[in-house]
Amino acid sequence: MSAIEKNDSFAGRSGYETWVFGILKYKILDTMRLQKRQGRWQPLADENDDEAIDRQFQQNGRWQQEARPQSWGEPEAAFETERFWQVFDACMIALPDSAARIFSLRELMGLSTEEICRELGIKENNCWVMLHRARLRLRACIEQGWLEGDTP
Amino acid sequence: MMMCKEATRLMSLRQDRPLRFQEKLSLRLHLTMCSACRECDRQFTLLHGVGRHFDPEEDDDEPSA
Repeated sequence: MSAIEKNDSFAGRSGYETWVFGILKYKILDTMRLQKRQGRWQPLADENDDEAIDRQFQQNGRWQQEARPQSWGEPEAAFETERFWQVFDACMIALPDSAARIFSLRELMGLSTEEICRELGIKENNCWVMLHRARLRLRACIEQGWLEGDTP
Repeated sequence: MMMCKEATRLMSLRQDRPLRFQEKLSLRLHLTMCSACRECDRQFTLLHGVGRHFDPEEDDDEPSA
């Protein structure tokens, strides 16, 4: 598995967050390259995606009472804890494939949406829509896991 | 008057490209009045920092205390 083979490049770094990052980065890129080579890249959003997002909002566009974002505390402090990364990892895995992929390319790999769209042959507007959905799902999932201490 | 769902679209968008003047104005106005969206905005910004925070290729990055 590529994340393990690339393990040497993480020398001097240890901990769950590095593991999470490595797995996501290499696994997602490998899968994407393979799919692109085979012409199987499907950038379409999952059908259930809209529904999952809509559940967070009332019909008038306001937050549903139970979905209202709450404070996660000090952001930098969250990064230092292993539990945050466990929650983050579980939530990344729970994301629909297309959302996890585009979020990883943008936020973990640091590619611009312009680069992502050129690479994947999709319209930039599609990228923004997919990233918006991915972020909403991810934040809801992380909040649940982080504040309630449950496995998301 | 912009609602929360549309505000989150702009919060997400501004992690990917600079907002236009009108977008910036509407978002700022909404955030002034909506504490839930202010949290959401912080969280999107936090998520945006995830990759940079743990990029293993940035060797000059200070190890976290």
